[in-house]
Amino acid sequence: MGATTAEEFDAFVQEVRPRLLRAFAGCRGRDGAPDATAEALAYAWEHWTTVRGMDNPAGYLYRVGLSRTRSRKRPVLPQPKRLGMPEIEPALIPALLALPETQRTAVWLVHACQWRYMEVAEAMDTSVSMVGNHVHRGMERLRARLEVGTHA
Amino acid sequence: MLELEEQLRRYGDALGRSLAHGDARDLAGDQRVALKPPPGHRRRRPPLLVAVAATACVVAITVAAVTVVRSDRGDDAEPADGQIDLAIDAGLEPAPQRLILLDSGRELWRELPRDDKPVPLELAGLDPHGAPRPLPGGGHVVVGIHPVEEPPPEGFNEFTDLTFGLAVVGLDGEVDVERDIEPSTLVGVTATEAILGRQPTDESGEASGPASIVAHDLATGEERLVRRVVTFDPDRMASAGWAIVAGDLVAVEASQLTEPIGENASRVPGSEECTLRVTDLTTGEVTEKPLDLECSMVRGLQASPDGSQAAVAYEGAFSGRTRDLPQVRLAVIDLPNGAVRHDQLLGHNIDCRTGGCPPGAKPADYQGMAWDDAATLRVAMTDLTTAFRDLSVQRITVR
Repeated sequence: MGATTAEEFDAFVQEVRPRLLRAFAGCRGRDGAPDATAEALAYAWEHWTTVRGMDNPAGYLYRVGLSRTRSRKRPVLPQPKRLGMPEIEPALIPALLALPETQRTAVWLVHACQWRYMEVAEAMDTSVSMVGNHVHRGMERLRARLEVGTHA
Repeated sequence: MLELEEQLRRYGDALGRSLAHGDARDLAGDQRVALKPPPGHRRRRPPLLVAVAATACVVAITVAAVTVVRSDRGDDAEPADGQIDLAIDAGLEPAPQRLILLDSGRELWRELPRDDKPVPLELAGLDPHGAPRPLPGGGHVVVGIHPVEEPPPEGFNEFTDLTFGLAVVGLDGEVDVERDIEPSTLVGVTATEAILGRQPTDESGEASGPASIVAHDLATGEERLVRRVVTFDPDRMASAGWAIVAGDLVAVEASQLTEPIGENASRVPGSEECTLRVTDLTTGEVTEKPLDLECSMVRGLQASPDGSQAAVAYEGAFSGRTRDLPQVRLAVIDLPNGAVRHDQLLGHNIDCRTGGCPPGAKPADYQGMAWDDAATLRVAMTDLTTAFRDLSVQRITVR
């Protein structure tokens, strides 16, 4: 592989790595996100000719990272205060982590990572409408647990 | 207090910054791993990909999704003239048909009367698995999951520990029959029987064997096996819409090849198959014909009042390119031969509440449909540009 390709891959890593780290945090936690990201980027390098032509490589690599870092443990995320975010409801994170996996993933990717529904659908290998349903149900559960009304 | 969505966004921003800058070794480590895969690099076989099991708890569409099955040649041989022999005389839902749908904006099953407001549907405390089905003489049948206590008990498996029930609701809205059944999806009803689809799943929710079709006597609860599908193809994922027409179970099934990505699987663009499959509910005999539609997922099926046609709501072929808008379409096919008589766009299944909306998009998603008369369909759609996914109804002339 020539230097041009390596440089191209480096640029790709710089761009996609922050997105993957943030996305994986929702399902692998603060400690597991770097491992999943590393696995995904390893795959990207091995299959660079394929990955470089994708419209949504982050979504594809998200699935790769998940599959290579199976975990039956519930992820651990830091309390908002530890991130210097006192304005965030402390009970939000435990409530988020208590959601069923599909709902948590969809809510996390859509709202915490600001991924578009189509990107999330690719990442979760499901339809856009199913993502919408997971997000809706997840947010309803969060509101119920936090005793927050639906917004007008 | 900030909206939850805004709190999540801010938390995600902060955590993202922390992850990106918190560990000086991260980037170098990632790139090193990326350039040289770790020793003993795992390459696992893909597991079976399933659609049905995942929907056990998340019933969101009005059709049953099944892992695709391949019937043995002997069972599925076509009649010599290439026509499906479909008796059209009884067991049909007359016009105007009742429109039952899952109002996804409010997570409620409703009936949408003609020219009136939607009304909640009596569900006998069940979370429906497969859309509730109207009975020919009035009332409806529900098959669904018994509620699970919150939080679930320690060790609860959301796939294997669910319990299912069947209920018959009368014309007066009262629950006339309620009984426990094996895990099932309701695919149709006749005047006397509920037609159920069953497929075994393992503890991770993946299909673990061939599906079967069972007729459940509504009065007695007795069951008879209509058909067991004899082979099982885990490399295709599929969805189907169902209707009962004159003693036959009519299904339109969309299936697509999958290819492995690590332990998961991805759909292969261009591998879609759309098939009309008719099962005689008395003999279990099956006939099938390919349809001239590029469908990646079937969202709904509704037989016309005279049973001569069926309306199919489906999602268009998956191109694999994110810039292509996902289409939700409506087709009308002739039931004797599967000929496509009508095919039109209903909307684009893209949620424009986040990330803006591409030019030319018509963001709306299918919810349900019913025939008003022999030539007119009422199709319920949700608006994907509004927070509450408002319902709207289109009247579409198809002949």
